[in-house]
Formats: sequence, structure tokens, C-alpha cells
Amino acid sequence: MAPLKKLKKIKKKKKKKAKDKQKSQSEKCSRKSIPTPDSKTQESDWWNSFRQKNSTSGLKVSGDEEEVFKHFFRVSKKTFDYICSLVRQDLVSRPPSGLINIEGRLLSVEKQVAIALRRLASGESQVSVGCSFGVGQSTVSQVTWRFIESMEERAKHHLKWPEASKVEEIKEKFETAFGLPCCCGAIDATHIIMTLPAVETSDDWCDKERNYSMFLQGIVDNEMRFLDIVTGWPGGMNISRLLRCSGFFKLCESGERLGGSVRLSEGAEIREFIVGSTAYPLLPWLMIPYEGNDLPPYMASFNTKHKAARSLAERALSQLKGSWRILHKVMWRPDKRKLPSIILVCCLLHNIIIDCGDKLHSDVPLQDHHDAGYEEQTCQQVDPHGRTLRENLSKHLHCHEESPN
Amino acid sequence: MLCSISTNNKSGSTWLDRLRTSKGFPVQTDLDLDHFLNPNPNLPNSPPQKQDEEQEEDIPSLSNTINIEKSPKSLPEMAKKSDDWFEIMSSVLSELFNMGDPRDIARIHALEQGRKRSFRKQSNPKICLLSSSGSVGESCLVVAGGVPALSPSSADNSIAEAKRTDDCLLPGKQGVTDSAGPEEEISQVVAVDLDLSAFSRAEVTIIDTSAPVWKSEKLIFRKGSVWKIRDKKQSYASRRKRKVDQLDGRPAAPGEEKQQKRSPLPSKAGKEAACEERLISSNGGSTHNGKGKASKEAPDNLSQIIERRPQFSRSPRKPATKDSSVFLIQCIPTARKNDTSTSKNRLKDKP
Repeated sequence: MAPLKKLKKIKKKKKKKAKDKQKSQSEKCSRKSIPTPDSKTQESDWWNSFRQKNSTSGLKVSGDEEEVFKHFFRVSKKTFDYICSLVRQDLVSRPPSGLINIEGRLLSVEKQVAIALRRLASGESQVSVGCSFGVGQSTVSQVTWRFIESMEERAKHHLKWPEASKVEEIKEKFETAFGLPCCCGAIDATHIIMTLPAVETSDDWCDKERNYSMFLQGIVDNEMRFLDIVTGWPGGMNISRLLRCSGFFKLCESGERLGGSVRLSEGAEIREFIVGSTAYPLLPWLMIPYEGNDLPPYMASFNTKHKAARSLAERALSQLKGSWRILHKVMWRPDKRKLPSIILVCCLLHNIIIDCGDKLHSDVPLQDHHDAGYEEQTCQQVDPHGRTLRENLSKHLHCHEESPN
Repeated sequence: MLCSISTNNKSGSTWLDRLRTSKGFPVQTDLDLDHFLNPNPNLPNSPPQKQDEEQEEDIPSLSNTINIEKSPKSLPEMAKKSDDWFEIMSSVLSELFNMGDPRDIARIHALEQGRKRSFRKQSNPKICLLSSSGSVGESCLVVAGGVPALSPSSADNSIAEAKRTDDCLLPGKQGVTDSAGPEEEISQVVAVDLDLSAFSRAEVTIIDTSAPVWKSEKLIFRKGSVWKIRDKKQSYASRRKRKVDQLDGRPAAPGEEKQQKRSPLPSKAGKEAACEERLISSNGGSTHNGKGKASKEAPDNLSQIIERRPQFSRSPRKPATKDSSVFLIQCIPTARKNDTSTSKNRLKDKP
């Protein structure tokens, strides 16, 4: 039966092709008069309508307009407009491909962006998000995916490894804030939990806590902006392997990244580095804390500073998962080819919020750890050169503390 | 009369003798005709060698192959002659029946003489990878050399090679002292033929912002704590990226991008981009080329939409809204080719 159906479909398509050719010729002239959807006139009241629907549904949305807007979409109106400008070319609706809501009116770019942001921010089902905007589930699905595809291409410049001058700036900020010279960022990883169809369940995706999950590893700067991410690897891996699979690891190992070194006042040398937890190996460019109890003072001091710097990465991931709750909730049977794109776009939005200077509500980031329920992993791989550099650094810090002048 | 005279002159000779004489054969009553079939000149009943050779050259006969088995002639020489005949026959047959290069047949013949025919199927089937083209070529060369080459390459050797590549690709691994449990192996080899039948296999889409192309597809093979990672060739992501690059450009330089799109594009790719841009643009000034492209690409998308919204398909000239003069079906979408695939899986999308 299937081949018959296919044949019918092909025939239908051919017929439509022919029809379309005729129509496209006959309506050549009329096309010029097609009005483009004007976002000012069409659906200009989407926000009022949305607010009305959601205020009656029992949500606490008191406060001024700007704060309410940020509550729902995580971004200020100004940032929202900027995001719309990024994706406008891809999302602008034109018949018949343009998305049409229940009333048969074209969806404005603003409304599409709002739907997508709401879906990512709330993590609510497509049906409930659709209800709050007066559109159907399929529209939410399509709008969100179109937005994600567009953002993937058009917002790339918000997530990249900084230029040398910017790296120097970041190093200065880290040294000022945490007393760590040559520190360029903090690294951490989190699990994005999901359910899988029975046919797709595989041990590869099953992590140590028996959840099906996908990894996200991020390196953040002093402002908690993502400088580098890698995602898509299955949760069945451990974090040290995740690192080794990343492009960042290869670049650092080849010296193309974090290759700069500094000679300290004591004559010892340290290299540019990032800080990470004990789940990562100790490498010349990746400093992890000392392990064990009753550590010597210089080690304990290093650990304190290290922890403070490392917490940036943890907080960034908590903020990411808190802001874009779709990453925090257990995703129901996501398409594993699309999930990395969703994660990437959430990271891009996270950076855009910081770049645009928006301040998040204090209740937005997760109150718990971003990977609550997961035991901290320990790698215990030590590179001898990394060990030497860590010794140099921690002793330098200790000396600096004792004689600040 | 002349006939009778000549007959009389050759008194005692029969028609057979005359035939033999006319053909240059000796006329003997007790002639053992086997010697004609026997190429061995050392046999007592054999005719002169020269005659024999002439026969072999002039009259190709399948009997040669039969006699080879009987005769005590040295094996290489016999094989040589047999090959000569076989080549001649192959050439003749090839000319008659278009059997391809006669050398191939000769090669197969040589191979079959040397050993038994191999099984067509591998005894231990392996995953065939695109990157194994090199080894295929190698095996072809081996076949040409006459050495059996249909047996699969040694799995041990392949693994050894993989480990070597591993070490090359992971320079940091040598310096890392792993004190935690068993040695774990990661390989990112592409061109190594490995026996991965015991491994579980998963396809993953990776986004890595440190990679030249952010999105890539990889194959993960896992057995216990051993993970092997391979690149999947011709990923959808890279194809898409190329297309988007052609079409969109980067947001950092919008002016440039627009200029590029508006400028006449002579190449095919350029035309594609230009067509799509024309369709994107709101002024609707599309050219004939643009329409051609649109009418080619549209049906999938249209059919999807029409299937979903049958009310629009019934009267395509009916305006979409009361107040607008918008006609459905005229404008083909297009911002990206991906819209087609997106619309196909609308219900499946769960972003």
C-alpha cells in the first residue's frame, strides 16, 4: 500500500507543479501588489492580548510593563527588538508560507519571536504556549524551530572565542576579582535531561544517574558570557572524555588557544589557563583544585581563589537553565539532531542578554546546582607539566598574599 | 579420363591417403592419429616437431587442454601454452560477444587455476565505511598480482593502526597519568578499517563552537568504556551551511550582503541565491529565472500547506483576509530551502 500512496503523492505534486507554473505566470502582475505584513498594524496588539490572557490565568505579573515583559520573555523590550531585527529576514511572513494564526492573519515577526522565546523560557508544552498566544501547537512548533534555525546563523557573533585584546581584558578582570593571574575563563558541564522513545533508548545516552541526557560544556568569562560551548555528546560519557572530544581541547593542546605564558616575579612560569572542577584533568592550561584534607596553606589559598573563579561557570549554567527552562525540564522525546541547536540558541540568547546589558530577575537562575542530583565526578588525571604550573601559581599567590607590596 | 589416369598413377592410395598428402600428413597405414593431438615431441609416435608446432599455430584446438593433463611435459611450459591458447580464445570470444577486456578473463582464469574460488560473501562481514576506498584499491592490486585478496584484512592489524592514529591525535594523552580505573580509548579516526561489529553505534549531531564548522555529525561506537568517534561524511549541517552562506551571509556585514545579492550573479549557485533573494524581497520584482526556480521548489511546500489547510486550496484566488488582496499560492517561500523540510516535520518538531 505504501508505494501506491507514494505514487499518488508524486502525481499530486506533479499536478500542483504544473498548476503553480500556470498560476505564477498568470499572477505575475498581481504579485507586485501583495502587501507585506506590517508589524505595526498587523498583530500589533499581540503583547496586550498575551498579557491579558496570562494575567487572568493567575500568574503574578504585577509591576511595570518592562518588568512584566522581562518576566515572560527574559529580555527587555529593547533586546527583544534587537532579536527581532536579527531574524526578521528569515521569519517575515508571506503567503502562503507565512504562518497564519487561527483568525487567518499572518503572524508578525514580533509575535513569532515572542512565541519562540516563551517556549524556550518557560519550557511549557507547545499546546499551552500556543493557547497563551492564540495559536495552535503546530504553529508553536514551526515558529520555534524557524527561530532557532535563524538564530543559529544570524546570532553567531555573540558566541566566539575573544580576540587577543579581549583576552587580555578578561585576564585582568579575573586577576582583579579573584587574584588569579592569566586566568581566561571557567569551564563546567551540565546534563540536559530528556526522555527517549523505547526504540531509541541506548546506553550511550544513559548517564550515571540513569537519566537519558545530552551534555553541554561551556567556558565562560568574568561576565558569565559563554566563550565556547560544545554540545550534542551523549550523557553516557564522562566529563573528562567530553573535554577531550571538544575542539577546544585540541586547540589548547596544539597551543593555538591559551598558548600565552607569563614569567612570574619569582622567575617561575605560568601559562594562560581556565579553571575547572575535579571532574576535569589537570593540564597546563586547565587548573583544577587540590584534593584532600589538611592541605598546606598555599594550596588551601589557591583552592579558595579557584573555587570563586570556577563558580562563574556554575552560575552561568544555573542562569542558563533558569532563564531557558526548556533546558531544565525533562524534554519529552526531543529530536536528538535538533536538541543541540536548541541548546546553542539558548546559549546565544544568554550572551545577548549580557551583551545588551539586561539584568535578570534574581529568581530566574536556578536556586539549586545546575546539575542537581548528579554526583560530582573526579577525573584524577594529572599532567606533570600541569602539576608544575599549578605549584608555581599557588606558591606565587601565597607569596603575593604574604607580601602584598 | 584424366581423373582415372591420376588415380591409376597413385595406385594403392586411398582417398584418405590422398587427403593426408594434400594436407601434408605422412601416409602410413598404421598411423596413430593420436600424435596429432599430442604436443609432446618426445613421444615415439609423434610426428616431427615442426609439423606439430605448425599445427598448434594454425589450428587452435581445445584438445590441447586435454592433452596437457596426459602428457608428462613440465608444468610451467604447459601452463604457458595453455595460457596462450586461452588468450587467443578469449580474444576471439571477446570480439564476438563483447565480453570486455580479454585480459580480465585471462586474469580470472589464472586466479582460478591457482586456487579454489573464494566465497562471494565475507565470512565475517564488516561495516563498510566510505573511507575504506584506499583499501579497496589495494585489494584490487593484489588480485592483479595473483595473490588471493578476497579475505578480509586482519582485524588485529586494523586495531593496531587505530591505536597508532590515536596516539597521534591525542598528544596530551601521553603526558597524562590516568590513575582512575581502566585505560579508556577514544579514537577519532576516519580512514581506518576497524571491526566494530561488537560496538554499539549511535549517530550524533555535535555543535562545537571551536570547530571550523560548528555543526557536524559523528558516529559513536561504544563497547563498555571504549568509545570510538568518527566523522560522518557529507553532513546535512555542512550542506546547509554552504547554502546559507551563499544565501544569507553574516549579519555582521548586512550592507555587503545585500549588495552581493543584488548584483548579477553569473554562477549557478549565484543564480540560485539571487532567485531566492528575489522571492524574499517584498517588492516582488522577481524575474523569469526566479519564477522558474520557485516553481521547481514550491510543490513540496505547497502541498504541505495545502494538505494542512485545505480551505486555502479550494479557491486559490480567494484573498487570505477580507481586507487584503493577497492571493494564496502565488508567492513561493523560500527564505531557505530548509523550510521545506521543516514543514514536512512540523508535527514532529518539539522545540
